[in-house]
Amino acid sequence: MTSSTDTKAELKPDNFRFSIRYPWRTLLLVKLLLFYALLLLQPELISLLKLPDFLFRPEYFSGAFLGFLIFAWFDLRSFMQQKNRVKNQFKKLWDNKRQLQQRAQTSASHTDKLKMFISDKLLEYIEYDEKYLHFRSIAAEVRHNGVISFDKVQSALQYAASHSLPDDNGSTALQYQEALSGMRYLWDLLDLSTTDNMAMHIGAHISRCEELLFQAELQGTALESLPLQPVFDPQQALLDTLRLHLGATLCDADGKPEPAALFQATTDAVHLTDSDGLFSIELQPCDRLAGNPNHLILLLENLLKNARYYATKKQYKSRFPPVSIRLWEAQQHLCLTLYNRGPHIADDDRGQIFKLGFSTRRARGHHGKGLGLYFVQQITQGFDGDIAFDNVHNRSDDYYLRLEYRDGSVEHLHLQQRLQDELPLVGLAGSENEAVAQFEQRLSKPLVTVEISSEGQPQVQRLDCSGGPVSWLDPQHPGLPRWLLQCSGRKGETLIFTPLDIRGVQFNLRLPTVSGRLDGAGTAGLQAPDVHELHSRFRGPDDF
Amino acid sequence: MIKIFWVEDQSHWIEKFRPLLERSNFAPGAEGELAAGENNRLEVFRFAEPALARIAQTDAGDAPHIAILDASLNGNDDGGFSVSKALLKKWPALPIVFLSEHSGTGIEQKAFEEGVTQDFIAKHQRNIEGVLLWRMKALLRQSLQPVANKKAQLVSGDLRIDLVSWEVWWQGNKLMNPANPARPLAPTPRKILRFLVEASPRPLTTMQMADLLEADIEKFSYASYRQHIKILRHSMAAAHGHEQEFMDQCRAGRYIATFGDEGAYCWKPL
Repeated sequence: MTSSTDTKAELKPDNFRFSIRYPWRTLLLVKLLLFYALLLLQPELISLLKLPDFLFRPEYFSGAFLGFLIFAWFDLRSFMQQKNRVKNQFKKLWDNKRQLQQRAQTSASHTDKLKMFISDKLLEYIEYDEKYLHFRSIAAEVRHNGVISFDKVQSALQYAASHSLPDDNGSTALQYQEALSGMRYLWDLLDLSTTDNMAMHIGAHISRCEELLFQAELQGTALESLPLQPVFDPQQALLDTLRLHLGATLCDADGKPEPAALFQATTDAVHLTDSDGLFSIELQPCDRLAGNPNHLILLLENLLKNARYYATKKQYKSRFPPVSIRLWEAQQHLCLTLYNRGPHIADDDRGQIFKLGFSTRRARGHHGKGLGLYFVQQITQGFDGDIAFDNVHNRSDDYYLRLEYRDGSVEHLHLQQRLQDELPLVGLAGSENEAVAQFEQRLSKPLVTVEISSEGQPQVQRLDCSGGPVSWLDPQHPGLPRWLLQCSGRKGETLIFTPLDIRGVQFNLRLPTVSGRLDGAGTAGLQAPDVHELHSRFRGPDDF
Repeated sequence: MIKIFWVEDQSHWIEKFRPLLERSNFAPGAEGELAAGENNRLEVFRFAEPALARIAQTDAGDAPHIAILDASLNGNDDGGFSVSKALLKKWPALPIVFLSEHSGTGIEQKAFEEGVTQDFIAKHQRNIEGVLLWRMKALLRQSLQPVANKKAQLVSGDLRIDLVSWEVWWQGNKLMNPANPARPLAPTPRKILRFLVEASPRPLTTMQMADLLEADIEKFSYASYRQHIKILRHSMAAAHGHEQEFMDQCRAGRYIATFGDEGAYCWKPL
């Protein structure tokens, strides 16, 4: 019984009982005992009340008194217990009340915090929207009023560029030309900032350019004779972005200043870098694009600024240029890959990354959050292209090195690259030694050549080491080298193989080229194949 | 010599374009400037009200050849629209060009939606003078050369191909890119359609078509011919309204019909 009551009490912690049974039985017994004592002291009362005499023997009184004391002790004990219980119940009740109050206070403070957070966010968004709208209305006003000033500046710069006297460096005309390009870029930014839908605005412009292009094609007229140039060179747009808008000083792979006509004179790929060693650029010959080059420049500028931000952060130091750009053409599309050393983008963010207001950067006070990639996507859509990104991971691989010494002897090395905490480590195959970040081999004889191939890249690469110390980055992947091979020491006595950490993010952009547009590629060409078509019945060619 | 009706509230643009508009030779096929002593007749208005009054007073026979309007006049975004509507009410066939800094905004959208202009030119673009002249010439070609214009058109049933501008119309609707109706139709399908119509009722095989297109026979196979025909059919079906109906007609051997087994197609109007 007791245990079930306790269980009930536990189950109902708030079922308080405050009643106390008063020790009235002890009081009654005291009165009876006093009356008994009175009878003993006044024997005449016994006869008067006609009570039996044997009841009033002194030892009976002692027994009764003892019985009374025992009963009183139990009764008082029970009373004290009840009193304590009530006291405890009161304490518990107060505790419960206090707890509730505390809980209410905590909830209230949470609610306050939540309210603060929501209002902060709301304010931030309102401010953001207001700023955006405010800027747009200012830009629209500036555009309306500034069009004449723009026209005057443009005419003046055009006149100055075409009439400037040649100076020693021939740089004055170039300066005017650059000022004109900068002015037009500024104007196009202003133009885009006042549109309701950037993608539609660019799409409409490209549509107009496309119509011009088609007219020229149908009538057999040269594009140069048209009053408005409907096409532009994407290589030049990329170089202009780097030089004019990001301030990079470009040079070829040997550090010589990049000659302007280099990539126009050759049909091979041109590799460039910048004087800070930040960018690695590979330009392959590619067709022109329809539209305004400044729209592509804005796209590239946003992507490159993002890449440069991560490249200049300390934790992403690397032994090769941290930003790699590759431009080439495939299936009548201009393809551009841009690698940066930024942190991997979570799968959950995959659908969000190009949305307005979304940013992977969490730093406070970072203004213009989530605008860059939104612009990039809008411009890409305007060009009828597509953009995606991949997280670049390090991979395990097996490398085979063939060392040829001056005395004609040959040594083979089999190196295994394995991953530990996503970082590549290397060790000799079959060796019990632990894999290390950098493999070193002391050489007893002078080395002449090293040949290297791997499971992932079976084509053999050959390095000449006869000329002394040499450092060699993976030539198969100039933009994103997987390894570094060094022959150090004065006589080339140590061979060092370093697997490189290539983690980062790579953006892939595809835009239809002019020939793609002429042949009707573009949006239709970019659509993924319909796999359901594979199960359909056989149809004649004209059904398609 | 042509008559130009021009409404522009900013003197900078008037000064900039006046010599150009006065001296340019807009005659079809003509290049360069007018002969000495000859000028185009320009009527320039800075405000919408006097322009409207002038339209009301002008005789129907004394119509201008073309009108150039600024969309926003002295702060009034509807200023150009009201002038355009008044002009079209009096001369419905008058070509009108909007020359404005509001290109790419809601004003341009409204102008095309309300059908008050044939063209909308941005003032701030590169080589604005060249663009303006070239677009004006394109618009004037229709009105200045009506007889020659008819010869420059290929008409077959509901199909009309303008051999100068290469615009193709089916049942009064312009053919566009079937993958994206906002974009123009690619040049090769337009050329193919022209050759098919010119050869009709004879069919054209892949070899013959490659020859007419001056295409490399290595590259222009039956597969590419078929692909272009597919694009063309879809484009015409979109202009037709009922896509399935048009495709059914093609399958039944009408319009762009498949001919024989030799990879040939034929134009058969109803």
